[in-house]
Amino acid sequence: MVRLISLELRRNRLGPYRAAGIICGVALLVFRYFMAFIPIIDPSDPDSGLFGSYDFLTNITDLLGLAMFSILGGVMGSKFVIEEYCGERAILLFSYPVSRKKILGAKVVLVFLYTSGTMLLCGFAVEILFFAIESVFPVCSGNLTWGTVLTAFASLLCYCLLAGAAAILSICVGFAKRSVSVTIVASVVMAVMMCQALSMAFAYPAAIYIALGVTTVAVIPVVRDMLRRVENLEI
Amino acid sequence: MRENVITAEGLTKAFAGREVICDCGMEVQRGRIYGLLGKNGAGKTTLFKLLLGFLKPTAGKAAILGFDSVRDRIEVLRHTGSLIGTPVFYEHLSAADNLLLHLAYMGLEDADVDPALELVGLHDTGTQPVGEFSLGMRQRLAIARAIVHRPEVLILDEPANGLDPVGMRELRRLFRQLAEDGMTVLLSSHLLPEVVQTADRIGVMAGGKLALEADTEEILRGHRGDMEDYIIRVMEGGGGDGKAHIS
Repeated sequence: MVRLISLELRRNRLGPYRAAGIICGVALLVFRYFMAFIPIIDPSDPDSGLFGSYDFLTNITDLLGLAMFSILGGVMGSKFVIEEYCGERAILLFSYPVSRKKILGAKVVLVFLYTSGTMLLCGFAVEILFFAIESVFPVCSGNLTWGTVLTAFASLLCYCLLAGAAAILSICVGFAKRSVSVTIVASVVMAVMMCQALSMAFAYPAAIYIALGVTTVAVIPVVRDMLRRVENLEI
Repeated sequence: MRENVITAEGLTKAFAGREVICDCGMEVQRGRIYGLLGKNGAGKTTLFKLLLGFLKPTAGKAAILGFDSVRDRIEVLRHTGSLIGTPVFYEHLSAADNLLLHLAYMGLEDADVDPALELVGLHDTGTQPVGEFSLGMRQRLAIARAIVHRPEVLILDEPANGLDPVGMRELRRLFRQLAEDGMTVLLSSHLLPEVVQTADRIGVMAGGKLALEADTEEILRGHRGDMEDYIIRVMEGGGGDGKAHIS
């Protein structure tokens, strides 16, 4: 599997996805400061105090990150997986004396790792920068403790896994139709649905863990079905 | 008697109830060049895909080197080099990198790609990305990719596509050399003179069946003056004398 993933890396260009990841990271940092400054810009608004909480800022940034990175993962999946199994490209893939399941599995694992990993790195950088600056020049009125920082990182990790899982689900939908556009639309729909469901996490922090469990349960059978399909695919 | 390397028996393939290949049988012996002729839609590419396990037969069976095309698909692919349809490459990589990647998938990381590139005249392309290659260069690279792992069997669908007359002549010489080295070559073409000059044995497909199968010499002997008319009659499903020419 590791060898197949390294071969995938050799033959695909990751530059555009790396650049997109960096842009997403910068956008997340800007978005967080934009939210953090609301109470300072408009202190008369009775709801503005909400934006001064670290938990709120962390959650809303993670939610935006989940939307951005799950769509990025969907786009990557459409290129790495769906396009490869459409038309003449599929003939090239199927001419290798390697199990079709293993090749597809390597692609799916790569998209999952890349989506989750890039979001984790970007989110990590945003959290570190934000909390480091906050410790010197605080913008938020909330109390910054080690507990706040650790909770932020734990929640970030869950959102990263969810973004990777959302990318896999959109690949499965796209693979069923063997369509790049269906994959991308599926990733957008998936992002909207997940963000909608996870908006509950503002009130119930445990919602993120429940979402992670539910998504894992959903991912396993659809991936198995996709692997079964590729084995019987005729081109 | 040479060993049969490629065999098909009662091979049938239907798409949505319509039979594209119908009860097709063929045998190709080791070290021979077998040319398959047929009109567009005669079923040449479908037959090749069945042999390589890209499609599953509705009935019958196909085997390469004794390996069943469906059950032992991976073994079939390990021992076969192929070119089916328009060749695709990793456009941003050089010719050598494309071949190295192919070898890595074949499990032959340490193999040398230079001899294959030299055989098809692409040894001087250096780091030029394949995306900048002409149609003929892409076709030659596809042939290099099919032979780079030194397979025992070569299955090539329209290998002369996009090649100029010089390229076609070089290709003929290459196939002859590969066959002398013991490689079995099965190729298809629309170009009758090309197949006649290249192949030892010719099969003509019509309506999903192998309507004629005979040694090239034998056809030349029997139809020296009207060979083109004769083959075209067979391709159109009439006027041929069925499998009377099988030797």
